[in-house]
Amino acid sequence: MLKLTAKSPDTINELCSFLKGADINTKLIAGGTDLIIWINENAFCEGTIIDISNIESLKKISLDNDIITIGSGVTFSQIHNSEIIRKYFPALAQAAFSVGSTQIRNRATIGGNIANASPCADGVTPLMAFNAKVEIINSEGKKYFRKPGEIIQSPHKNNLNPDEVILNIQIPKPKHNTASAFAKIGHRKRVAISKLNACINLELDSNDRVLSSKLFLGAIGIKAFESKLISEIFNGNILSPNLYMNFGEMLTKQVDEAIPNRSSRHYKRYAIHGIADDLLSSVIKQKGCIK
Amino acid sequence: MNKKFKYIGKSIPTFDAEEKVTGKISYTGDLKFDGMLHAKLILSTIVHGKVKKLETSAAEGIDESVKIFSYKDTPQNLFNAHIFLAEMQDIKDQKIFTDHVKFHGDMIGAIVAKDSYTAKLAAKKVKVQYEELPTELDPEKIISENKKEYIAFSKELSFGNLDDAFKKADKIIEDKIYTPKQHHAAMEPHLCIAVPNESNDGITIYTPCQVVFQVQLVIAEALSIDLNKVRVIKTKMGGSFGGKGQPVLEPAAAFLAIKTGKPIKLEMDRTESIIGTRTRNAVIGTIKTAVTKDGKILARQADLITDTGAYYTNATAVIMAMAKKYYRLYNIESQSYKGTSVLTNTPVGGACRGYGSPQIHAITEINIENTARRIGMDPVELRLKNLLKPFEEIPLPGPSIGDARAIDCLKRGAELFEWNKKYNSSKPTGRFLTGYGLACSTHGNGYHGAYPDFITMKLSLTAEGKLYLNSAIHDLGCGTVTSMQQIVAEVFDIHPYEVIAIEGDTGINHYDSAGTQASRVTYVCGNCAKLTADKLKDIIIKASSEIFKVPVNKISFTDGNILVENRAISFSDFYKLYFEKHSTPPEALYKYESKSNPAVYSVNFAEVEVDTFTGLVKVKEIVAVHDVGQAINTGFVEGQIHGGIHMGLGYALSEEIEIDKHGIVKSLNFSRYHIFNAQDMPTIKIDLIEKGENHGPYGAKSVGEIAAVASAPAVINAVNDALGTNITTYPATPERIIKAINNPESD
Repeated sequence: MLKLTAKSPDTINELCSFLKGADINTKLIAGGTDLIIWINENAFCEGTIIDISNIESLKKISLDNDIITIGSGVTFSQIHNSEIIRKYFPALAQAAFSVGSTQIRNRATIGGNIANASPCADGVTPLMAFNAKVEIINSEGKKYFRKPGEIIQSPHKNNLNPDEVILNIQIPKPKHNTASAFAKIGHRKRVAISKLNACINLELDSNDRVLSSKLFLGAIGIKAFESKLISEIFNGNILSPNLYMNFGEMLTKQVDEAIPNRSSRHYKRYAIHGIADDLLSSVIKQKGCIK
Repeated sequence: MNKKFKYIGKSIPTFDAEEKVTGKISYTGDLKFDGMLHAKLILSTIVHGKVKKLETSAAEGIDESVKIFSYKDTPQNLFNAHIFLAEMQDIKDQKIFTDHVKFHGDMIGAIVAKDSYTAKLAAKKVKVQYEELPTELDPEKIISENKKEYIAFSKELSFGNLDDAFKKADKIIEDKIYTPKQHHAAMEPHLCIAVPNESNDGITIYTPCQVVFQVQLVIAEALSIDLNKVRVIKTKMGGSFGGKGQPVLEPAAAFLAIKTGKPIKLEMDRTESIIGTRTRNAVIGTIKTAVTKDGKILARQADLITDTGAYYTNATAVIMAMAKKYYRLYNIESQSYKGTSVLTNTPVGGACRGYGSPQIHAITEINIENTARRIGMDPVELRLKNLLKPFEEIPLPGPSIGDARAIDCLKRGAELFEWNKKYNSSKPTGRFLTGYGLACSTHGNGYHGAYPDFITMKLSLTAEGKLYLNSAIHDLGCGTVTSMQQIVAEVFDIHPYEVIAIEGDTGINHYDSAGTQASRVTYVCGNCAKLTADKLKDIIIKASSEIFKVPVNKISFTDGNILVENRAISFSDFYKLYFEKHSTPPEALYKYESKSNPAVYSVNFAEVEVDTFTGLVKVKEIVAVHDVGQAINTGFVEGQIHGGIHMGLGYALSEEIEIDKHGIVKSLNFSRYHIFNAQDMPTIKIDLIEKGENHGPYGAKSVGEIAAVASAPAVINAVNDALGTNITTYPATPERIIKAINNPESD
């Protein structure tokens, strides 16, 4: 006889106890925007579903000791509306707003976005660009940190053990002036899965000169990856529209390197100029530069 | 036209609006019957082949309720689900379940189980072994290699002297246009319930369908049972757009219910609806236009190939439908048309809102815009010189185009859109480019001239003083029932909600020849409702005259009452008096056969902004002017136009059933099949030309299908205007746009 058990812990302790003996048929559910579809497609009806959406501590964004902590159960709407996130990590707020529809953003969580391991995950690219750490707990209550990239193994497959769960994401508060931006290209302007996404994270001095730069690209590999070419273009330069040509060409080169043999390359190597333009316009606006 | 209507033209909400928005309504998915079992189809995962073996033990092991039925169990009668009249001669090549699968999604069998989850799980566990066969996927290859067994139908028509006209032309403009298979994307995927009758060996089918008598006919044929054993009841419709026109699931559900002796609910999910039901036929059209330098179109030649998919279905009908529209828009003396339908190992073609009009007008309207540009003429002016005028004769034999108001639509649209100002303005340069375009279109009003087109209605006065209209209408969600209420209400000057109009039920209705298709409902069925109401009105007037002993000219209707001289008699009081005298309720039965099939027209103007970096198109504005004769319910008409524009924009820019080079469908759900979204919708301005049409109720004619036609070519023309490209392949995806920008000479 088929048996599906649902459990709904209220605390982390309870969650750990429910995770004991977890196997591949143990599924964690938070927003359910990916899992419910998976359940329906695969007629999943034998195993255990643990609903973590009642654990209050997972649903908060906080700033403590210069660390910003985002609970794994925080929704994209919460991230987009968070004053803390908007202030320190505008790119993450932009990315959160770019995910799905309003209904999806009200349900889907940042922890789920990482664990679902989609190559197109819009939440993951900025987390990588901000050097975020992910805190994980296992059924024995042991906690440890991993990078988002270490959790994602391959499309829709993560490296978490069945008895592990993401608790939160931690990002250090920026030490300098920063500007950051997220941009994506999908089939349409809104409610689209990324064909390409990118996050830029710049540290600036008081004259808007770039001290350091980071750029991550998503949706053109099994997971988002860092583009190292960016520093030559940005570092030491004043943030201005003049950077656009070199930035666009550099991104085209990056697409050519990332997906040399895919038929989608012909479109993406060109369309990434749109991402270059959007990212640059956004960071310039943040610093009040003359456009 | 007499515009002094009390209810006609008014935006009255549909009678079931409150039930719908409060979620109280029962759709087919909500219906439950005692002992009901749930069925899940086993669909082909390959493109063409023979089923060698079905391994079912794993599925049967899940639960004792699991039963598996396949081609081994079903009758092997051939039928064609497109046939809605027994006399139709279309080739019959479908079976309920088959061991010779012809496309990715063909029906092999079904699981029946106690609940939908068990049925779904069991269906996943069925292993099918196939012997694969060669596939045919490319319509052009089928034609060029003359593979006769794949050529379903071909028709050539020619009028005038083409050779002469092409010689006289100053310019000849040729285009080749590709339109894809489109999924209807109704919110409600296909489903139906079949309930075996306890009293005899018959069956009752509950289905959100478009033609109850067609469902009855096809089931009877597929199962070799008498028509009178099959009762079909149309349920609340969660969207159709032509997709639920042909019975897809009903024969299988009927078979399963008879076999198990239990009510069966057979439901599809989105993926199954995309691959396994019907699609808009893909069309490849080559068109050549001969024009003088001052904009007179002398001749035109069109050569179309239609991909009808794996079964014959409407291979003939869609070719003929496109021909009709080809000849009913412009006044061109010499014109030839060739249409060929081919069979391919791809999802099956069928009705889809517009029925060929979106395809033929993609072809004519992109080409005519190019013609204007090539001779350096304003595309509005070129069309004005060539559009058909009201009642103008056309070479194609058949019904008159009627009071055809294409020119009025074009002139009014140009004003509303401020075409002259926009067309002559200088455009900004940079990343985002603006473009303007337009398109004209035409459609029909029923089957007159092609098939028998009649309906019989019965209107009775009830004891409570309401009017009860019994007819085989099908509200597809666009307001058919309330339109009929308004038509009847206007005759009697009672509130439309005092009219009760039931929908299709073969057990109750009089026969209707053609159902809710071919844009016939308002024009043909609506006129029947009007004439039936007129007949009952005469009966009531005559009876009142006898009962109250006053001359008939002293009897009238006002505000829900019968006015006898100055005395108001309520309908319920009249009912009592009438019944006392006649021992029967006042009622009128009327059979109406359509007398004409005029054309309707629409012109759409589009403004777009193209992101030349990403190829994304923002449609900023659509102006749509429609020749509707007379709106029965202006709100419904506008709703149809909004929805039609939406469907057209998806067709032009994002929607396509993608099939890979092996024939496997790739766009299996809405993350890969891109519907145009609410937030992408443009500002829409609508105007209606209401000049009345003969034989239409109060002058009304159709709108529901033509609404989905002109927005697509208007947008493509606007994109090409913005970019200086000649994109002729739908949909103009970002990838195709970027390709065209980088290589403007090729498509």
